[in-house]
Amino acid sequence: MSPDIAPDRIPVTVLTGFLGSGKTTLLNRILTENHGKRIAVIENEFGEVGVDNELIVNAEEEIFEMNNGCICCTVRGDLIRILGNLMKRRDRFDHIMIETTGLADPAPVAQTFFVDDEMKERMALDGIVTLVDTKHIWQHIDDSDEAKEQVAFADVILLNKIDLVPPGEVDKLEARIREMNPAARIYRTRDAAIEMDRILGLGGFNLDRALQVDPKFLEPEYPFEWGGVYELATGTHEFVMQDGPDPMMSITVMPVKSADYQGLEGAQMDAVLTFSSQEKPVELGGAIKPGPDLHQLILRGDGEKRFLIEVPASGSYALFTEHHPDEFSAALHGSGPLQAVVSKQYKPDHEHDEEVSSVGFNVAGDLDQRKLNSWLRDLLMKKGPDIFRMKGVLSIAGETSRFVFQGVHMLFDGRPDREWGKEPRHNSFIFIGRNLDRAELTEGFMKCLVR
Amino acid sequence: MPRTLGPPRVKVPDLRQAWEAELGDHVVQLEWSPDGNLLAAALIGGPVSIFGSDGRFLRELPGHSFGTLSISWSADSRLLASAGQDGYARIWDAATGAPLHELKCGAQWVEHVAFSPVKDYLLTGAGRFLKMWNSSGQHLRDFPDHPSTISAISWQPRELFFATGAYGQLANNHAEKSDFGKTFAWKGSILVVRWSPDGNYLATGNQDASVHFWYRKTGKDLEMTGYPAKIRELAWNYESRFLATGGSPLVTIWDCGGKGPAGTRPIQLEAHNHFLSALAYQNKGRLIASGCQAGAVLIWNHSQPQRPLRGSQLGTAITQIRWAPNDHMLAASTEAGLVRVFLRAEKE
Repeated sequence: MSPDIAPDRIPVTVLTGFLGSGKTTLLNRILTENHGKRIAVIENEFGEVGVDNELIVNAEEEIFEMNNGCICCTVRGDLIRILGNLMKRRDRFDHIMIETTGLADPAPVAQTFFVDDEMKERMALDGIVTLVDTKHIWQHIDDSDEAKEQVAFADVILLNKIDLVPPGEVDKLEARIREMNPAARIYRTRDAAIEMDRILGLGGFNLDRALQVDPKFLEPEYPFEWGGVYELATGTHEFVMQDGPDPMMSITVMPVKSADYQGLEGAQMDAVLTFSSQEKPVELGGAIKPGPDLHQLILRGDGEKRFLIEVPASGSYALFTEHHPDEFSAALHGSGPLQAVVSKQYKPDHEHDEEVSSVGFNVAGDLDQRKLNSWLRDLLMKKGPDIFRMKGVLSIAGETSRFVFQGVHMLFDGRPDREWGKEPRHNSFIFIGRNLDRAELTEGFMKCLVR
Repeated sequence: MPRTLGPPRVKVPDLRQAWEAELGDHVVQLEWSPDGNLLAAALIGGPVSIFGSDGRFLRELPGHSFGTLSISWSADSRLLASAGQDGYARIWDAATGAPLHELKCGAQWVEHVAFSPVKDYLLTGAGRFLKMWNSSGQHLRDFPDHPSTISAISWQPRELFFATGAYGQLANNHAEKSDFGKTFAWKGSILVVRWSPDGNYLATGNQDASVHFWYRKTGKDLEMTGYPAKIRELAWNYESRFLATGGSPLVTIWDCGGKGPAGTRPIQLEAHNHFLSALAYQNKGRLIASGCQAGAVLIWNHSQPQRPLRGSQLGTAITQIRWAPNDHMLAASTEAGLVRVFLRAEKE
């Protein structure tokens, strides 16, 4: 039993993937390997057969759209019936695995465990595992909505049949898939050989484990590559740059509360907003004042370039730069070169050509539950069909425990998790979907923080 | 929602218990024979137990490997039909337990079996396939395939009409007329279908937490929404006037008399502390029995909705409630396999 699902609910794994991706091979492994779990498998092809300790049930996909036609209420009627009967049995199963047809949209399967009261009470979505045929996926990934959705919905992605393509191709594919779904764990397999505990018992909520794979995945992609906090005295300072790769660079300078990481992090979201405003061009030798303006330094000619920063009162100030200062051997000077007290590199914001992508936050602080609820309600009402998955670990003001949740389209399922204890309180939150508006989501989320 | 056990919200006198039996497995269906002498209980694991109305255990039928899903008595109480997850329906001699016929129904799971109360016809529903047989095991007729899995079959109590539910439609057919088929198309998923005893209304309980009514003659329909959960519990009273519905911890009763239920406020019976799982009106009397997922069985007179008359706690979720044909006894079953039979108190 997965540690992250309440013990009275049976975990359910959904297996998706195009025809030929290796689902049947994987299922056969699950059914024959000795993993000590009693698994019921819902398949498309067989009748009901007992294989040793397992059970395979045939299902004919029946998608029930509810009367209002809302895609988020669409469920798999056959599963409700079959699993309803399965749940009555005395011989309880440790795990349920559902295989979908190649072209299936994973949403109705997943939603079945959020919408139907009987299913919701007795079972919980543990994870969505998507098999990718490494050799043939390129034929689908650009123009098949189903292929994109299967990747976007996944908690685990198996790049299967890697023996059939050169390693370089697999790297390219992995990068592409990462871009669409950075929260998924990706494994490379041949003949769908994978350890069971990598696909079963994911716990649905386990964002921590995803963070271990790529600690940066939840960070927003920032419009700047570097930020640093300085203690600056009243007066004029100089930002001195050498030749670099670009003819211009945007920067902003703003006062912060303290010359430490908290001060820097407290300012970075304001900097994101500043970077979305119209740049003000600054010629060589021009002056900049701290504040919510974006300054575009125009780097004309060769050799050293100087810009002035006028500090009105001594204190802590943050500087955010579009490119890393090292690329221009740039430094801030007072009476001599100054060192940032703390600084941070940010994950660059590269251009997305993917229609399916993700937006994540990893932000310190507490959330106002009321504001969060109302923001999410409005957001999901408007954007629910485009938001495929949502996952998060949240720090709710006034609660001593972490709040973990996951969602599919407009539906979500969340509950208090372990106590925060000594761990610094923070919020990790990710949306995966189609045509997501990063700036709008970021701003909406930031407004839910307790100021 | 937590499955809390416990007494109903109000204190009520105990129902008078006649007898009980522990079957040790989820009881999927409980049916009195039409003559009232026998009670059959089908278990999800397969076996079907037959008891005398006095509680004597008579015999166990093996039922179906992988599980029994449905049972039905023939009108003369001699035969019991069963259907299950092995692809078959079977007809058994209730007096000896002998298997008489095995019917291949067209799909792996045979979920519905229903003898006509009027004539020697037996319907089976398996996946999208609906077939008619007689008690000698002869295959009489195939009806057109349904658009999706048949979710309910209900004979009209007095005639040879019957209704079937599926995702996307309610169909009304006639056992002997081939040109009769009437389909009420409706974009919703039907879970249960009940004829009113006079045969004038069809009511369905649905996945989308609604109750739908059809007037058989005109095909006119109306819908009751606002329930917190899907509706699997429906019961008509003997006058065909009141329809009791589940889908919440309340028994919600619609008055279909006069101008019908449209625009009226239902009667609501409130005492269960968990969602309902079974409902049954008496066959000729005015009492209604309700069972819930927390194991309580309550009986009510709906004209005194303030409180139930009597109750009993069976320990785990109630799966079925059935009044005996003469209304003197009430049988209830649970998911842990308890069958308990109560006697009606004379004063009620």
